[in-house]
Amino acid sequence: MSLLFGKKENEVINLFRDHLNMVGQVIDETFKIIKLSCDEDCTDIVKTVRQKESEADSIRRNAETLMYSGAFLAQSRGDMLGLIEAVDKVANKAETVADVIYLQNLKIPDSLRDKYIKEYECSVESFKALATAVENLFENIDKSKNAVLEVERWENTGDGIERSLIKEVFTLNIELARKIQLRELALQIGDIADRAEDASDRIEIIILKMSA
Amino acid sequence: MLRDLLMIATAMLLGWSLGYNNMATIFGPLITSDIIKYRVATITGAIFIFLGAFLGGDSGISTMNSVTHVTFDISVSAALSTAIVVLIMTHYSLPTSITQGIIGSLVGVGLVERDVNWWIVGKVAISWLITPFGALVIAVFSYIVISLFYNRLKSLRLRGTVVRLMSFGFSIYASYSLGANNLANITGPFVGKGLFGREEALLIGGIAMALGFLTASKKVIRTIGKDITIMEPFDSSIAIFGEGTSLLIFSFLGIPISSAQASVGSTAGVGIVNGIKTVSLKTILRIVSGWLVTPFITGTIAVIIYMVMKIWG
Repeated sequence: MSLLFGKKENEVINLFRDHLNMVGQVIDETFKIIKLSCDEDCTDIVKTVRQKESEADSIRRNAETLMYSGAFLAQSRGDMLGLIEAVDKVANKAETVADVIYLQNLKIPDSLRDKYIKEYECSVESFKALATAVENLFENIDKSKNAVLEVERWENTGDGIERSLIKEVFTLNIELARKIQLRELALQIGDIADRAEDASDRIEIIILKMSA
Repeated sequence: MLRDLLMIATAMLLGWSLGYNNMATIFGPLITSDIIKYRVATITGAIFIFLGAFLGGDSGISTMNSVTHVTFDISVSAALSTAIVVLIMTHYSLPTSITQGIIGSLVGVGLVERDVNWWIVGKVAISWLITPFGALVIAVFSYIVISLFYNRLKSLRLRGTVVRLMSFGFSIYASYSLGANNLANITGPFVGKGLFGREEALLIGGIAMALGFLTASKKVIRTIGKDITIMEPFDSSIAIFGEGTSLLIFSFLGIPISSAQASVGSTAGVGIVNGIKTVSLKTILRIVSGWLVTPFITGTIAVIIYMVMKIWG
């Protein structure tokens, strides 16, 4: 009988925290590739990104199994499941960014590196805000709501940088193929923040559903 | 001896079907939400419906055995016809109400005997009209008041616990109220004129309803529970509270009402607060058909049974 908010729920919440931590590590590792001028030493970083992403997947699966063994009210399980999957997609996107650079051996022009770093920082900040929103979801709804707004703010800022970056890419005197690669990179980095925002939308829904 | 057995068997059948039919609407949301297990729900519900019947069921008895001057033949034909109709309609998943059935059958036989207490019948009929609206008002009011406190809780963890406790507490409360209000439907017609004594009536009716709760089908509970749990747990617990409160208020007034109609009213109330439509034209037609069709059918069958019993002596 799970009349109280009990042991299983607390275990799932801990797994949510572990998952957020792992997704954060995937994002941080990927950031290293953007900051570096990518030469052969990127291989180890990309390996770490993949390994951390896989660990995040594994934590997510454990949380899902625990949820379906009876944690949370049946009506809430779908929402919680949707949330952890949405957070997981942020890690997937960070891995894609690493792949875009590594697999295509993409060199970021020095003139644009700072802008890419700024755009990525917005995605990092939006994820940090998402993590705050998830961590406070069970203890302080107001803090969680504020963090959701923060996610949106960082996502908007990132969008602005992404647009100006793409515009600048197409003013460069480089091959069209490389321009398209660089545009693709800007879009993928922006998608990290977009996915963080998608996850934060789910938090809003969970709060709304648990309100009278 | 045969008379006693027939009375007990008829009352047991009626009480069992009442418990069986209502278990799902009261405990369905808890079981489908995995708040409590099926067996825990049936046992807890059975205990509280019995307590409600035994401790609070007395007041409605006077109403039920005053519709007409009850005799053995009248009581058995009324209870038996209602039990038959309820079982057939339940089997075909048609809406029915034991309260309306038993009143219809007593009025039917009373008409044959030219002995109907229209004052009591009128009082009951008005209460039927009031029930859905009363339940609606109770649900709206309690939703507004309880949500004021609930929304102040800033921890989702705490809200989860509160909503679980509310759902469980209100289901117990509704079980008690159902027992208190509907006991009169089960054994009310048998009280007086050397039939059941009051304590016997409370005991037999309570046991019968409790057995209905205990034997309620897990599959039916899950099916009905899923329909109700389209609502959020907070909403469904308020709907159950509204239903339970309507039943309890009318049991204090000594008037048995239909739990299904109380449930429709309180669900509509929750819908109004949330700005969503929870009651369709189909539901309204169901209520009206409950008012008209069920009493007519049970009345007709009760008259047939009564005539047969009279002919056979």
